[in-house]
Amino acid sequence: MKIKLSILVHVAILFLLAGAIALACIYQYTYNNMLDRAVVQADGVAKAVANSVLAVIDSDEELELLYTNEEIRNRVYQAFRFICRKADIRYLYMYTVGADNYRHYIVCAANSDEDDARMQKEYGFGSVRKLPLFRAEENVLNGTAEEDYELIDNDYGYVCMHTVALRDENGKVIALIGADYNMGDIKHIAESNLFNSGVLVIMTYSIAFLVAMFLIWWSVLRPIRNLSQRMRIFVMDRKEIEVTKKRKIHYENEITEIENSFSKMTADIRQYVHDNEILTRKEAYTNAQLDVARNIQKGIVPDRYSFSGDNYELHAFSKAAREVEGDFYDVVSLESGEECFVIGDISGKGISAALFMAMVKTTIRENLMSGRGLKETLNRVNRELWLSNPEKMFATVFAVTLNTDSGVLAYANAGHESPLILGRDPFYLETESGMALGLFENSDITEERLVLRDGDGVLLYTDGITEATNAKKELFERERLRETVLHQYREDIHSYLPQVLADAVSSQVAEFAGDAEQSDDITCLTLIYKDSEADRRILPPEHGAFAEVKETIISALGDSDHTKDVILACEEMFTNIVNYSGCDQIVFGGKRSGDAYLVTFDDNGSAFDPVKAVPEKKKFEELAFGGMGITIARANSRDMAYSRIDGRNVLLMEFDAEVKAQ
Amino acid sequence: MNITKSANGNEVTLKVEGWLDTQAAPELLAELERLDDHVDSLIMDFSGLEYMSSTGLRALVVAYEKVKGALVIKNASMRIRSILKTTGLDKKIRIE
Repeated sequence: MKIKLSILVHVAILFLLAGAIALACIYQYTYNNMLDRAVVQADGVAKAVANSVLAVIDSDEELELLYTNEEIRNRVYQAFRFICRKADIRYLYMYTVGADNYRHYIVCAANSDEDDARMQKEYGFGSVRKLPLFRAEENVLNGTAEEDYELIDNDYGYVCMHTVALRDENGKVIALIGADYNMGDIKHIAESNLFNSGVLVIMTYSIAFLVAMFLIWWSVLRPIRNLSQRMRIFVMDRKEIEVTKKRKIHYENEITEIENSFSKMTADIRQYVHDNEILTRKEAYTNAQLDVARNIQKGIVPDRYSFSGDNYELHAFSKAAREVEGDFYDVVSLESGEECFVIGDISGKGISAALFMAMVKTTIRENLMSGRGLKETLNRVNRELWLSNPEKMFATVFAVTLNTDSGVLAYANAGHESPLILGRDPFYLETESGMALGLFENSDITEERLVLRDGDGVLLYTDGITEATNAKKELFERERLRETVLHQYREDIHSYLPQVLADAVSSQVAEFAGDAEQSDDITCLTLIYKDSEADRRILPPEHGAFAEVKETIISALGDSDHTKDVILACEEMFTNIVNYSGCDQIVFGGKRSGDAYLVTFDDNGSAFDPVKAVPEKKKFEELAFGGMGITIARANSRDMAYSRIDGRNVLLMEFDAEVKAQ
Repeated sequence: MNITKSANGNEVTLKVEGWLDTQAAPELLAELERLDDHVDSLIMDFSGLEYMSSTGLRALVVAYEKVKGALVIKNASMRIRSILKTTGLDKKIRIE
């Protein structure tokens, strides 16, 4: 704790110091100088007198006369008195100092009658004084000085004594003459002068001090105290109260500048605090709303979702860049028994995107639940959004439907990123993309299909992954995603573990981005198809090997005309593979699934899609060389689907398991 | 597959029974190869034919060319007929 010392105390101390110095100066220059000058003057007079006497009485004989002749002695006394009066000498006397060092007085005179009477009584002719000699007397006696003086203050007053010696021819001191100049008066005058000057100085200083104090108090302390009180009150409850009457300000000075600045500052701070409070209230409200929105959204799009269904495994995650996001994914079980998986990304971010997302997701789900296919669903949703889309927002959506029995994956793309097909060598699916939903009346969305083998899958994602940016402004890119996925392939199960894969993608993206802020929502859905029921055989590419296919089908469906239709379609495709693909093995799979019988041919020959292939119109004669097989296979099968995965042709053929009652 | 050949002058009847699939078709093609050039009418009796693949159909086209159109298919089951129809062969080949 520091000592609180008012400015006034400081000033008082300053004044005291200055006053003391002034007094000291006065003392030095008025009193001491005056005394010094008086001594010089007194000594001058005393010296003159003493020497004058010396000039008159300048021989042993004359001195002798003084001893012997009373009359002469009396005349000398008269002369001494005269001199005393004229020269304002207090005492004038002649004496000798004997061997005993006593003073032996010869003639003594004083100025005033009173003094003189005392002198005559105490220092008359022949009187001896046994007092010790003064320094000046000793000096003159022992020859140190021809003459000397000394200030003496004793019973006989305060005087300046000047001593000269009367010497004989040999220079021997025969008598001393002393002249005492009265210093008492001078000292008294000097003291009274000193006192008067001192009083004057003290008064002047006191008045100046008071005036200064008043001025300081009036123009500095008072406003500062006022200001400091105002500050305290302001700090306490941020209100500015005029604690004293507003001073009339006749002129501006440093203090008024501070006051003005303070007033302006408090006004500014009040305004700022006021604005801030409003802002804070608004922000708190908005944050609370956002929290609720986030919770609601977590219900719509969970952070993570894992599911193991019949013949498939799924893992999805979604990471919002802000409180709420525009990405979504959905899993819809259709009445047909198929599973539909949807991923979407709304233009923009934040609340607007989240709201739009909820609408898009719900509308898609509604349409799917009411039995509409992917293409119809997305086209209808597009139109619904387009009809009421004041903000011109849009959604890119990729939707797939997995037939969990056959592995047929139907897909439709509304301007979304192409998914990765997850085989041993993952690749980006090339799709016919329609328009993003909500922008145009017609989105021209088409639906295509492919076949997944056991262990194959699909990874749906939003561009938050491929466009994740690191500190160097580099993008994650599709290739990095593909490589991340590739590294997760498990040779032991010939597949991927969806959750492990999703986690790898998530952590790779996070690692890549590093400290860079996540700029976009990240969503990823991994789906793996499992087909453990199929009766699978690896066959050599020979016509004879079809016998095994035929037997398998007969044993599954029984021997009937319908079975022959099935065998015929399969034989046509098998023959095609043997004749044209150049493969070195064919994997055949057959299984019953509900009311269907599913056959897959999976060969490592050159790519050929019998589903999309358009049979050439051939002349009758040319038919001898083939060209009817695909037509027959199509006619005899209920459905056919094809994929090219990992350098293999995968063909799925679907048949009725039983003959339909006509 | 079993093929029974019978001739009546220049008219030859081939009775094909069983499964005419990719593996069996070469047998039928060989039989057709063996046909005399004088044959001006070929009847294929499919009454016992249970199954026919596109290779068999191709053999029919070969047979059709061989007898310059004088090919008649008899007793084909509904299924065989439907295959012929699907592939458009019924437009050229007479089916009775």
